[in-house]
Amino acid sequence: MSTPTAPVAVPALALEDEPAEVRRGALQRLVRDPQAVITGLIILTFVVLGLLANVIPQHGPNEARFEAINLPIGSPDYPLGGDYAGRDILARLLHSINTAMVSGLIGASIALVVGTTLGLVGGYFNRFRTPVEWGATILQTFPGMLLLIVLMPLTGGDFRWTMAIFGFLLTPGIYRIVRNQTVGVSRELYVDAARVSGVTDMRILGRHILSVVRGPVIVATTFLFGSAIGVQSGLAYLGVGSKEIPSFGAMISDGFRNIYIAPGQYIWPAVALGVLNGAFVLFGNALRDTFEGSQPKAEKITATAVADDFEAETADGTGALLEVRDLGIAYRSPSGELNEVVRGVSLTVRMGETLGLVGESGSGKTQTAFGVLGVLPTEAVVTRGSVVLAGRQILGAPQAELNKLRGSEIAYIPQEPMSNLDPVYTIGSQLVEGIRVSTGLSKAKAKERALELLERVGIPDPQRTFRSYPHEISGGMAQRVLIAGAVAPKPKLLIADEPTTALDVTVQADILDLLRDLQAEMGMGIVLVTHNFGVVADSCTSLAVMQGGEVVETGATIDVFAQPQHPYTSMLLGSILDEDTIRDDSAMVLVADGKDPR
Amino acid sequence: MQVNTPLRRQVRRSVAAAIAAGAVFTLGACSGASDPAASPTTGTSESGAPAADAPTTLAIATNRAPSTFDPVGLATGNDALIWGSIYDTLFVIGPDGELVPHLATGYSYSDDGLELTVTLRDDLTFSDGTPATAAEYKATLEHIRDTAGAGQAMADTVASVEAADATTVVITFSANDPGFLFDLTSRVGIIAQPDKMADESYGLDPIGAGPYMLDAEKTQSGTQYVLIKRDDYWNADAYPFEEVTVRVIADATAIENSLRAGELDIAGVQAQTAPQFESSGDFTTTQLEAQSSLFLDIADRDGAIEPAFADLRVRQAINFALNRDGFVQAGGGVGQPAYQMDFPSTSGYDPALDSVYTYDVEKAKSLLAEAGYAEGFSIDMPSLVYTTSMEPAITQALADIGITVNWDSIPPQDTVQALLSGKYPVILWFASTLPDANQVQDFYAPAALLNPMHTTDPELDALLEQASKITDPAAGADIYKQINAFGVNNAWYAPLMFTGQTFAEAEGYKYVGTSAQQSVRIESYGVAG
Amino acid sequence: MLLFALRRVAFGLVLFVIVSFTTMFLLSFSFDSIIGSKLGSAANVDSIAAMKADLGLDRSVPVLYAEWFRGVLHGDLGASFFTGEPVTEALPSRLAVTLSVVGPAMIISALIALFLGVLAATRGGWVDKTAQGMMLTGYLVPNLLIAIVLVVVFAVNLGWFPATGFTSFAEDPAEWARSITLPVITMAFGGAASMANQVRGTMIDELRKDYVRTLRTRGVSARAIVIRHALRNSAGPALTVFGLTFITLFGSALFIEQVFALPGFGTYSFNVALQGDFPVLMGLTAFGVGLTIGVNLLIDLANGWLNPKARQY
Repeated sequence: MSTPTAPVAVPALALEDEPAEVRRGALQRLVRDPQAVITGLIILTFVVLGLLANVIPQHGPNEARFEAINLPIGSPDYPLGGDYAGRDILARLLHSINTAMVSGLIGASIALVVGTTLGLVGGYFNRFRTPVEWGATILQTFPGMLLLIVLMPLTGGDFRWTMAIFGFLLTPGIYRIVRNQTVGVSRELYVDAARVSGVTDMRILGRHILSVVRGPVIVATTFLFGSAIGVQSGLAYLGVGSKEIPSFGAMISDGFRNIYIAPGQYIWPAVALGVLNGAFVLFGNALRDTFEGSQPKAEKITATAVADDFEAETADGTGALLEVRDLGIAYRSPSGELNEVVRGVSLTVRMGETLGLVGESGSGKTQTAFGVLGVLPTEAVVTRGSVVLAGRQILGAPQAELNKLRGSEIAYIPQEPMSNLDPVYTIGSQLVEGIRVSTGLSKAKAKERALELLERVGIPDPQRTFRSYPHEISGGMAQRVLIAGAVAPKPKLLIADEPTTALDVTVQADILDLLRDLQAEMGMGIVLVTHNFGVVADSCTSLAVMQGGEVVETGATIDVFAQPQHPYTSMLLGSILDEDTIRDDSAMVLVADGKDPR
Repeated sequence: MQVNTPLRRQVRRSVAAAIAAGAVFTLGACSGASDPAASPTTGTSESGAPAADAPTTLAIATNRAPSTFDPVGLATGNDALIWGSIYDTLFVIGPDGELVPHLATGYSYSDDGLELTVTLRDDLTFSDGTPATAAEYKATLEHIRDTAGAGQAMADTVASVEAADATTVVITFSANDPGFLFDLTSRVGIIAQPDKMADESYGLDPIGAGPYMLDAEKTQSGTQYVLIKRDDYWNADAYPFEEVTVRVIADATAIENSLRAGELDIAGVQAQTAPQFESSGDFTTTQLEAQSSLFLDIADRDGAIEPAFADLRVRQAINFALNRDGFVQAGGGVGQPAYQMDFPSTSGYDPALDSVYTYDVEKAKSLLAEAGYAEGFSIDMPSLVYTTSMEPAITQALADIGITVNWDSIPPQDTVQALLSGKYPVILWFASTLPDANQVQDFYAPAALLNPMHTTDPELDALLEQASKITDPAAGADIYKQINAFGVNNAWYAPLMFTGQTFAEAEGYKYVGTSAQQSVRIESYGVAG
Repeated sequence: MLLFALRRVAFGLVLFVIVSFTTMFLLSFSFDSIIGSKLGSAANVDSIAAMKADLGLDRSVPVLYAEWFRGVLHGDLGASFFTGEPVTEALPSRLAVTLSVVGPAMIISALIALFLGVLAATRGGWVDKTAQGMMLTGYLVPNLLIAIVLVVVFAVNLGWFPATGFTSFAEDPAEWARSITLPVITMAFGGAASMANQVRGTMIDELRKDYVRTLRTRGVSARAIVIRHALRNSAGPALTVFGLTFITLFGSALFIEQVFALPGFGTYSFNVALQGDFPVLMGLTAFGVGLTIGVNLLIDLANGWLNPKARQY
């Protein structure tokens, strides 16, 4: 009867260009989740049975009759038999439900109220942060079970008081969740705006912050509910508290003592407790899926899945470096059908040429890039089309084959430099690893090459950077490192996904210059994914405009700029002048994450 | 008439036994190897000549870690099995409840009963080899009397103790104390090596005059106690086991598991499981009747808390409401119904009293109605860890005649205080087998523990005065019977049952103690055959 | 790194003082009943007051605490009120028993959790479903049920393992192994389940990070990504989970110890708490707090060592 540690909430998975999902009400979604429905019904059944505890059985929970001692199951008036003292096991079982529920309610609600209050205060008002944090840490350090027993003279063993104390011991769990959420939300621009415009702190806390915090807290409370029930049962099993109160723990203890006389008595309360606890845990999981995005599925590192009817075309030589034809990428909806987010995209890139892949966020450009690279998320499915790289069909090719091409034939530069470096290894060791995998060089040679490259991409002190960890260098430097990593094996095709978006304006031009220089040096073909026509005008020989997963217009950059054919292209071009070079939403994301956007 | 004994003097046996033994009463489940009462006559022939292949080691369990071995801190009950083996006692209780000389050879009282002379054996030694004489006994008794601790109350009528010669001890009392003679079978009857008594470590490393010594190497305080037989003990041949291991196992089911798995040799088991043990072929069983008693102490006889109890009819109604046969059956049929407080093995026991209160709910109700309580009333009772399992049946029995019980949970360490607090009109309590003199002191004296509101009665006072002068236990039967009858007729108590105990013994072992034997003694554990 | 460690230790020390002082303060309310329990039948107002003075418990809590804390610094925690056993001797012998069970249970369940968690996170399909089913089972079946089934089947009926008791390693290693087998299995069951689920979640989080995709585009093999990168990055969170689980297992050892009659820390704490053995209770609190702080400190230090970013604090 150990106290189950509530499973750590797994943060929602945020996918760039995730297919827009129609937002349904949380409750509505919950009702459609079979796990939530089944476990919810189990809990509801328990509650109802508990409420009928005085109705269903023919006896009170403490009515002891000598003639009912250790009656077997199915005895008249005693459907589940009688216990060692001649009490109705069914009656005790049903009344135990109420004890469990009351325990859960007391423990969880105290943790909820106190934890939420502390979390809001500690997270929102800077001046209270330290004392509140200390309080939580102290509470967490108390030896819980021991404290509950030591305080028996004060609580009189009453399970309600015991659970109240336990509620306080559970408080830090809720507090941390609320505080972290509050800190995040209170830095959001809209909260700032509200504050500046004179909305009171109480109103901000109540209206803006509480609504965001609500989801995770409800989930955590469900787990605490289970914990409180478990602890109450544990204490009752040990004989702490009033014997008048029917409880699963006390029943298990009684049954355990009677195991050689009437083995069945032990099973009922144990099963009831297990099922109830399990229902709460699973219901909590379902709640979490609803509030925080679905439970992550296993992440298998493998080639992208293909649709059942997918058949890759055989390669045909058009002479182009990259020939994408009719590429379709889909995601499975919860109901199982496939929703295409990339719908029949065709692109062509030649050696030495730069193709700009342009579109708004959500237009499918990044998905297309990932599709070409073969690194789509597990949930993605390739539905149709062909991707031919240097005369080889690579769409649907097995992982092993793709790995041989990667690095040497095709390479990738990501958008956000920091998150694309493994934080626990030095820059050098990451570069060396990549170089060795794609070129088979010795360790020493690979290091030499890495240093050479670092210098080539314009890093002032390559030795030092080589030894540095990612968090020790700036975003611009990190992007140079990633470029160095990408071009190290001299790939034929470089796919750059918004390589400058996350960077400072002053650095952006340098990076684009660097890419151009490297291209001239190595003769690579480049696919430049961007939403910024300025960048396209600056760097691309041709461009493809995407909207809603389809390419709406392709052509030489000059031609398209001069005479856009599609109204959407015209609209995008028209907005160049208004547009800030820094994409607002990404800056916001950084702010929200608590990072310094610079 | 006043019985001239200080208050705490009286508070010494039943509660001590209860608290220390950690005896847990269970309907249908008497506790593990706990509270086996016993001490067979040592030196009798049954264990004197063990068969050649008889076992020489014994493993048993106790359900509670023993307290310190400091003589003043000794606890009665289960602990006595260990300290009794190490220190031994001047007298032991025989199979029929009689006083049997052990380390002593005999005793005599002065005519006024204020001076007790005890002669010791002349061949006593401590486990460190030094002789144990009257001087050492004197030192031990004085240590107990003069040091704060659980055992101190037992010696507080001792005015002085003198060693007249190596084997003669003269104890002078400040007041008549007939119970003291029987206390010589318990904590004040031990002989401890006085040289080390002042040491702090004495509580863990005792040296006594008993048949066994503690094996410090193998003993782990609170976990396991290993006793090694002393071959230089005067009666070593009477002890069949060379090595005795007492394991502390709190959980009763764990004790039973352990026994079934062959890790223990003798243990108390639930009465209902006796047939399982018998039919397994690996065990024999022994049942003891009437080892301790369970009763309601209607402490509020004067009606201070609940006026209803001042009315004799209400107290009688409670006595009529108890289905004592049911209680016995619930306990697996071991034990016997109790209609009076005196144990069947004592001289105060009177079979005629057994028919005063037969189970009759209607009669109980009409008595309550006559007294003006037809609607019933409600009372608070302390819920003590030792009696919790009996509470459901008590609640029900009283509910059947309209009395509602609210149980207050009492933490174990507050058990005695709960009783002494005077907050509770009725207390569910229990006592282990006691000799007559001690029963009278514990149950009826104005300052008795079980008389927490100090109720007195002229008729009773006269009887108590006579009882305090009894120096020959055998001669007092008539007085004890009258006191017992007073208790029954005035319904000061509502006795429930004398509880029994079932032992399961592995092959080659036999539990040889009897119901009449108050304390737990190693002599109760013997070999079969 | 050294400064980081020192700061953490200082923080732990302050925490230790606050929590142990609070516990002593709370305990001070029950001094009378503790002494009453020690005196047993001899308890009354006078004798309680006398013994209270005798034991020095009539002084104020700050004074008592100062004395106690000085004792702690000198490695002297006093002696039990009831057995006279010095606390510094009583605790280690009980700890040895509990650690003998919790330690192996922790190692076994951590290994199972890593194996199941990583497997479930990286394989998907029926492997994931099976692993998740196993985790759920371990989570839901009450420990006590497992314990009693194991005892009845393997100890009482088959006699393969002892039903109760503990043999120390020093005494007889083989017997030691036999005596801890059933308790360890019982305990590992639930521990593995809750940890595996969290390892799985952490691994999945890690595998969904951007740098994994970048590594894939460099041609790094799936094996290297899982082991060298994802697992290495999961080590911090996983270690935190393991540490918390260790404390939880330690706390719930009481129930296992009761069933198997192991003379361990949990049983000891429970009995001592029921008795109100003040010096031992304070010793237990000191140890309990020390354990929590110590484990957290180790986790912090390990995280600092594992995570270069944390080292700068």
